[in-house]
Amino acid sequence: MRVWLFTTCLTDMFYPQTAAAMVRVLRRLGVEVDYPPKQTCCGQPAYNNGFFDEARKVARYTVDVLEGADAVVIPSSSCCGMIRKHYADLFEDEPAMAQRARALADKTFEFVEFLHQRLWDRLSDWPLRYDGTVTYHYSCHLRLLDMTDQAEQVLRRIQGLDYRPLAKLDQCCGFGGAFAFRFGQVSAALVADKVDCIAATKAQTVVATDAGCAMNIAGECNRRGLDVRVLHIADLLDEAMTNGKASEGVGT
Amino acid sequence: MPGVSRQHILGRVRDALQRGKAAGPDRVDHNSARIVADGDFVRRFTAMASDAGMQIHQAADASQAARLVADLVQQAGAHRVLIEPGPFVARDSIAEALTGGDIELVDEPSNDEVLFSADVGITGVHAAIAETGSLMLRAGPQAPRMISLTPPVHVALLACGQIVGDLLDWASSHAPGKQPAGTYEILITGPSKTADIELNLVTGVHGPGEVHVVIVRD
Amino acid sequence: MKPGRFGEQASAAVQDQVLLRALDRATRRQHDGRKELLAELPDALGMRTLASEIRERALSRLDVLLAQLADNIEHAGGSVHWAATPEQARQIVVDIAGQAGAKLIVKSKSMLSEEIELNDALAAAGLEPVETDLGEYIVQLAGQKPSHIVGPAVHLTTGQIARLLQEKLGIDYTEDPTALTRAARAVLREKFRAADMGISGVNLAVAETGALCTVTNEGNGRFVTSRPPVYVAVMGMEKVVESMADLAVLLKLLARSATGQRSTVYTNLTMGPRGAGETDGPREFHLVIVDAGRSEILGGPFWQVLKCIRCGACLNACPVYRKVGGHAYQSVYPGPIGKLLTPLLDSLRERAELPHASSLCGACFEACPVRIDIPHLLIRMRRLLEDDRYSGHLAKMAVRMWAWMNTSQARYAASSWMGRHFLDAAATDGWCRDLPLLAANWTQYRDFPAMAETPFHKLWNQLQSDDRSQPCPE
Repeated sequence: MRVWLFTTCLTDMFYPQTAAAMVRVLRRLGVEVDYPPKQTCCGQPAYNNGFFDEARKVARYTVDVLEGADAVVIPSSSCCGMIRKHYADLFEDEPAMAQRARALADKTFEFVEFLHQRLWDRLSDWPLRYDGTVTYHYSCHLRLLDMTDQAEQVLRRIQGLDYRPLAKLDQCCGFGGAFAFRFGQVSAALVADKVDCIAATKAQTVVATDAGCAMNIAGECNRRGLDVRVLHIADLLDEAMTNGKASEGVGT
Repeated sequence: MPGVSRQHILGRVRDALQRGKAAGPDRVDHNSARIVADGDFVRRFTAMASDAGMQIHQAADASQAARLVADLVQQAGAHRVLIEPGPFVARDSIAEALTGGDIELVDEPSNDEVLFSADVGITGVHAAIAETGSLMLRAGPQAPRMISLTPPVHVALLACGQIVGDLLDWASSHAPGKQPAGTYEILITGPSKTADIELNLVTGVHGPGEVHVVIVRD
Repeated sequence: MKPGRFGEQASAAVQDQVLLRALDRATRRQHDGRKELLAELPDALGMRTLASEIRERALSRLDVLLAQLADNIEHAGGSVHWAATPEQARQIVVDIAGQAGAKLIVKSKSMLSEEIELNDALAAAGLEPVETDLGEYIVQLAGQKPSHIVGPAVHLTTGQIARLLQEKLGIDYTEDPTALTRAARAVLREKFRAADMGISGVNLAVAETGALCTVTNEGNGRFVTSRPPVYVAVMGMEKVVESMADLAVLLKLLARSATGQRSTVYTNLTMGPRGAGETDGPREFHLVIVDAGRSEILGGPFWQVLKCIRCGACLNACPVYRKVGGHAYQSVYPGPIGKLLTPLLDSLRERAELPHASSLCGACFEACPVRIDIPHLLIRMRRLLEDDRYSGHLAKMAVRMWAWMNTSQARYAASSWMGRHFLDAAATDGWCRDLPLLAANWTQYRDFPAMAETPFHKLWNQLQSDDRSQPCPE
């Protein structure tokens, strides 16, 4: 199985360790991972705000970069959703490009989705251990991909992990890209609500599947001095796999 | 005369449809929305109607129904009882059971005073729906609308065979070509209620706060 | 970015702790109820798709259906009136009242009547319109506007309502909801008894049978449609479906989506005025069909919003609505659907803030029983606005620059390098607490992370040279 990694611009710049963790996790599960170096951004910021011409330029570039892959795996539901659902919208008037976008969409996966659809058995064979209390925030764009509780299923597979379900689990954290800047106070109220719920679980770790959500939640936690680790699920899995193997007595 | 003609509005609609992209399927298949196809309609109705806050009673026959209704009337401390004129299951037995004694039984409210001061309203139903636990009443010369509305307690008599399975079955009773439905129909699924005051549930807002359904088996 | 009307209202609203608590309770209760009841359905998504198809089909044949509806109503002895504008609709209703000599008017909930500002017109004509839906009645007494499609008084606490009724009805102060409701009931009962005319909205009209369907939980709709000698229904032209089976499917979803019930308590169908031999029911029955911008919408790219059956599910699901409530939108139609409807019915330019006031989370689309893809349409509306340079030329240039930077790895790498240094300059211990310009809207409330020292696109080469299971060096 060969996949190409599309890190997304936010993960590339702010959470490169998450992308590295993803690579490790996939490789341990027997997947060959490659990284097309020309990648930049999926174009979502422009698209969401109605700048279609500009979004199209970046989307065209990204299709060029990625379409040679067997499969593309992305640590973000929003960027995956952009490619899977919205590229077709952008190239509505260009049949050839739309066709290429559709072909790419068919082989593009969000990270947890990929684990769940292609690697579940292999993951099940791998000892996973993470000792600690963990809660989880459902990123809005998972809706776009028709994903429900797959991430929670991953968490429940991990030995020693004390899972604390979050109240208002699927309520938006308030990031929304430009929304956080245009409607700062409403966005702030939402992230405050989200972190109130996180604090109420008394979990030491909160897991997200989107860099935007992570930045937003981590920023609020830090401002409050709330001592909570904000991790992408890839980070957690990476640790859980390492711990799992160690506790098995197998050297890494 | 204010407003415009029908032609004017329909013309605007036609123009819009021509220049726009509004489109729909040639046909729709309602069957995928069916929730109740078969099974024990009485049991399902009872469960759903109870869940909606109505009190369900079973009677083996008309005379048992009459006794039940007489008890309900007594429990309600009723003095004035409205009863729907038209034929409905167990009506004769009920009227007999309630005639005489302290209760004023009225089948044609002569004025508002009577209508708005009645304690209990007794009606039949045209049908009932198991899917939602709803009663279906149709207005008619023998079935005034107000009897099931103004009194704080409504008692409805229902024969087993009147229960249909699904809202889709209710809908098909209206199909063009079937017997005309008349001027007014109502589905009743519970006592009148509101949660408008900070989500606190209060019953008996404008309609009856208590609804009893007597299902007559015979 | 200067906050316009919504921005200012929203900022004020999120600081109102009383409002926040009320909204949180109400929306969550209804939203959770919705999820629970939908889970009961054998195939909720399939049913919603069917409901969507039913509405699409009806809209695509709207002229045929409206004609059929009108024919059936007239055949049954009712009168049908057609209004192209809100003004005409108001005048029609006032005239009907005038001709009938009606003074006291009881109304059951109608968003359309709010939209066309009917109560003001009735009052100006010397008539007395009384809202009879408990929440609407309370809001009317308070001289306010409703804040939620389904629960108009959801923004008021019991205490506030208690004080209001004490003041307006002269009852003793009580916070017992039953007592408060009984007080309102007594007053409204007198109105029902004495009313000359009843006005309601229409949830859905059925073309095939000429039936107008209205749903309530309280029973006020029954009085309004049955008690006064004159009954007037006002209806947005889009609220038609073809058949009773169509209606049945939508009813299955309506109560579940709105408030988490299998059915509303009362589902009324009016097919005509009082029939021969009947002892109650209206003698006069009127339907006013109102365009007021809907045919324009039908012919445009946003025609899907006309599928809306006003269930309020999107409001309950929306994170923004949950935080700001209905009044912040300053529109009859708040919430996600309101962000589309309001600019369309009002003015896109003047209401341009609304389509932007969304994080595009998609909860509304997920909740909508007729599957209106609200996020998609919001983006389309934003596009219309930017085609018209809504955000200004500077923003356009900035976005063009952004696109240029992201269509070459070298330029992207350079821009990320610059971004890192810029943030580093503002950061302490990896966090920025005080960023300038637009970014201040973020850091005013929470911290913004600095970028990682080495972005992944540089890290990759190092990762390649490591053993597959070694942690990646930082």
